[in-house]
Amino acid sequence: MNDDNVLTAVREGFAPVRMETPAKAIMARGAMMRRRRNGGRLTAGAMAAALGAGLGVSAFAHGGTAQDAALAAWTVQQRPDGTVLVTVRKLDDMAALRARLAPYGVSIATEPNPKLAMVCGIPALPLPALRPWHVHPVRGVPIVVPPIVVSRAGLKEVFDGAKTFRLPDGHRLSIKFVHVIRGPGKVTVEPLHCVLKQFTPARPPVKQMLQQPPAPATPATPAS
Amino acid sequence: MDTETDGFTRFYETTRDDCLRAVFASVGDRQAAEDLVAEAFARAWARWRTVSRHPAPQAWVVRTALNARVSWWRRRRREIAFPEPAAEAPGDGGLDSAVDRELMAVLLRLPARQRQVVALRLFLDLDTAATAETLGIAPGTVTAHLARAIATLREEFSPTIHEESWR
Repeated sequence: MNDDNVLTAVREGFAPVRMETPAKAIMARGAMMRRRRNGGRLTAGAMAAALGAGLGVSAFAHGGTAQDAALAAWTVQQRPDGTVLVTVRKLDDMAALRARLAPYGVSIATEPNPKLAMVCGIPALPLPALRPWHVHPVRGVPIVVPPIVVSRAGLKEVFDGAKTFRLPDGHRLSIKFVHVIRGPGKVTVEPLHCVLKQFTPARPPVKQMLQQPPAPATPATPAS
Repeated sequence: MDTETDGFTRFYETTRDDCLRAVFASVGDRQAAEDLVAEAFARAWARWRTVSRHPAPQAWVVRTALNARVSWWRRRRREIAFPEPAAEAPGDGGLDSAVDRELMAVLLRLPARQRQVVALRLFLDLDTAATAETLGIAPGTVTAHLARAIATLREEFSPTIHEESWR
């Protein structure tokens, strides 16, 4: 039995399989997707206009003005509801970003963190040229990043895990790890490295405080 | 009917069966395959101006359908542990009665990547380069997967042919 016979047998075996969904149903669903996408663009445009008009939202974008903030390496936006939106598209000038985020109690490590990578069950990888990441609060709203960002390079991110940390003010901070899917026709599943943040809590957790014995009283210095 | 609609309708009518066969052979579940292919065609229509310029739009559809399955798997894996789907359980109701169960069982015993390579080469008539491009792997890997898949299939099919020749 040669290769052609094998392939012919498989092909003929599938001959009775036919797609039954009518074209009209497909096109109706596609049209709905198109409308939704266009609607999203309009909404994004309206938001951009609101930003431009300065409606209480300030934007800080590295390497660009507010108008091309979406294309900057990273952006930090203070939003009217008190949350901060952080989006990193490229690891560029992280010192400036570190300084920008310091008031929020978050520091950023620009080197791969093997310990965090181990926690995530992913291998330590070299830093890719483009590595967007997300920070999402579990409790409180110190930092918020939208769940899906499609960058100019056409990368789409999909959540695939999270790691939670405690912020100095008691809030918990969850870092989402994503897979990067490159555009249609090419798929590269790429674990996003846990590059982000180390910080020292301003005060120990309540449980730890309760377990610690009270500090001995400092003996009074005898008056000389 | 405008040109765009006409073009898409023709594309759908001429390629839908082969796309379904390719996805069905890859995932092993007839109903899931039809849902995935329908979703992929709908996405193709939503961005038809781009997809119609793709060198192999039917490969785009199949790739999108398989990606949708990957996304579905990821969501499912995170949400709750369900019993394994039909793709991993040959012989249950997920298989199409129109396809010989033995043939499907043989296909499902192949590794997923080998099934995908066979499906793209067989049902979409993609060459090695286009298959590699669609799956995001090296052309040499496509060749190796195809050779291994055919060798396995030949091994599986040969006894059947032999037995039949003695009847």
